[in-house]
Amino acid sequence: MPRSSPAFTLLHQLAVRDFKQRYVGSVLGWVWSLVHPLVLLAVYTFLFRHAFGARLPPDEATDSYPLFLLAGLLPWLLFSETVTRAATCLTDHSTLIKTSVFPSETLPMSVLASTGFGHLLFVAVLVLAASMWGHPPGGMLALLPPFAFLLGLLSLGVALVVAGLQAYLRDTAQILSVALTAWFWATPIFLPEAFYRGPFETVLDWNPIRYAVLGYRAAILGGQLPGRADVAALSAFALAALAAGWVFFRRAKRGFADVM
Amino acid sequence: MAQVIFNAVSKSYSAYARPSDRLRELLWPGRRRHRAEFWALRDVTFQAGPGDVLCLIGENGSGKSTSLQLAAGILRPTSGSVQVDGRVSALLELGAGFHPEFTGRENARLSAAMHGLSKSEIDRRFPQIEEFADIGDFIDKPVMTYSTGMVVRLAFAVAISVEPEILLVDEALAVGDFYFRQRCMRRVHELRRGGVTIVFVTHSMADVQALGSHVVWLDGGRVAGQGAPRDMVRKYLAVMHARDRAVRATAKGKAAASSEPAPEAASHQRPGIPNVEGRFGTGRAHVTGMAVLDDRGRPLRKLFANQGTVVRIMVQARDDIAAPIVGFMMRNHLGIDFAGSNTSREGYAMEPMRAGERRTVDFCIQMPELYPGSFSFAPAISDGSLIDYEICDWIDNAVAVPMARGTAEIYGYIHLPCQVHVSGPEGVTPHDEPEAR
Repeated sequence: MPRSSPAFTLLHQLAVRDFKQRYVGSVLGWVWSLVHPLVLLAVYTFLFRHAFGARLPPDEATDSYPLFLLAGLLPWLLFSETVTRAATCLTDHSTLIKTSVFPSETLPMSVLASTGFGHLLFVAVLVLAASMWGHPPGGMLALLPPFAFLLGLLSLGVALVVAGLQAYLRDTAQILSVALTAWFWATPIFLPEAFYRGPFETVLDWNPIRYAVLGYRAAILGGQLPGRADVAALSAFALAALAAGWVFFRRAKRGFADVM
Repeated sequence: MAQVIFNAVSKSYSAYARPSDRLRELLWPGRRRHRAEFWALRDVTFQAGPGDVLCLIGENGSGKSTSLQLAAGILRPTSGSVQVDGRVSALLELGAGFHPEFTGRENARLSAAMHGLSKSEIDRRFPQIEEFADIGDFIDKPVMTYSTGMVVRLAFAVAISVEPEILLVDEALAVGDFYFRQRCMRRVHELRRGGVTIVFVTHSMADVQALGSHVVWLDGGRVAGQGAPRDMVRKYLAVMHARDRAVRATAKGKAAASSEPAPEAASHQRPGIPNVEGRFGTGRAHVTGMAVLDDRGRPLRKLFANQGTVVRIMVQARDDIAAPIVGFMMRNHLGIDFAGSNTSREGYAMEPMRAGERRTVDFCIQMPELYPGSFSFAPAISDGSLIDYEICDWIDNAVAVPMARGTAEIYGYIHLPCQVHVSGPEGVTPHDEPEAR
């Protein structure tokens, strides 16, 4: 999409609006978007490290649990936040859908753009923190953009599906929040992959976010490169999700104005 | 060529047992499920070409807004075809998408982007938008501090800034203040002359007569009639009045009013009424005569400024009339209601009338200086109060009299009597004034 095109302008405007809208009127503004993950980080570090005495296995790239946790949490947050907010983006803008002529797919896309922008800030903070705790940014950091890109495509695909579904089935957002909780624990964020053994390995293989987590950890903390199969799996999931989301949304949008 | 063509368009909404059925039907259109249908629009056919101003009129829920949504491409017709050629700008809801906490500028820019403008186009046209909206410094204040009128101004300014070929407007203009409405009207006329196709929904019959080139009257989703504004407005008002009366009669627990149809035009023409163009009312009383006279009782061929003028209306009751009100409406050459009054408005409470009784009411007017156009008078008699009344008889354009051209120019419609006082000179020292010493 060329920068000068009306479609880009609309997407940009909507994304900026979406980002500002979350913090409009609040004193700290977007700083709040940093608070949430930092508190999560503090609580879980305390729980897992000090209360449960969890130790990272020696084959992980870092022995700093907070860094390990955060590197896994960031991609997850991008995904879950995009998908959660996309679920209600159409119903939140039902007036627009009913009274304006515009491509409605820009709404979920703008949600991704807006969360993506916040995500960049986080990543910058994390890279900074990692370099202070003995993981200076290396060549592996080049892995980050492609992984972030694939994760974005995946998120967008799922976002399009849930946004379209929510227009027809208002239970979608509820189901989604339950599903995301389960999905979260099926992703090696708090616990290293070594923990998921036996029957859980299949779950990991079919969990696209896991590959993104692997990539982010490798890129930011160093350590073992993700295998070619991992990258291929993430790409396949991302493209499949995007294709499915796009096709579904195009179909579903024909009836949006009828059901809003 | 900019045009909007509706060909036998129907739109139904289905009440599905479960919302998921709707989704299933959309994804697998072949399989139809049992459902109840509600037809919002049925077999609607009309068209508007370049320079046309098509007015959609009708009661609430008659399908006007649905038609606009279909024309905008927001909804799809269930059957029939909607053909829209040209760049569409739709103003379907007042400030749709305006977020109250953002400034007018931010909202207008997003709105312009939603209308399909690119960033550079928005930058280029923004001064125009600002100028047309004319809300001054408010442009950089949050929209929640705006009055409704200001929101309309901004929304309308954006909608026309995209240089549409087809402009769809849903009642939004009814909200603006008079000054802004005038500007919108002028702009609409300009657009119309420039070949823009305009479709708008309104409840204001004055707007219809002032702007419309064609009227489509929708009733219960069907076309109840279409044609020239003057005709359609008259028919529409007559039917609306009859309905209103029926509702009131039912509410009062009375038997429905007499089923005698409103007297038709030519056949009921009678001496005393120069012209009967349209007529409606319950018929419980009739206007039997109408004249515009000078202060000595002679018929006037022309209205003269500052002259004593008498609008005489003769009425006869057919039935007992408890609280008669006699009045008239003066319309200008555009058919716009220009001025009017009635006995009740002037504080005169008329005695009840017995069946068969006749009365003559004179309205004595010191005629102001009006622009030299033609004015028509519509006399009427009704029963009730100004708030709750039934029109017994209403005759459109019973008398037409032109306003005489005076010696002085009239700027606008009416010259306001005024006196001029000039103070000064100021800002010069006394010895510079020759008369001061």
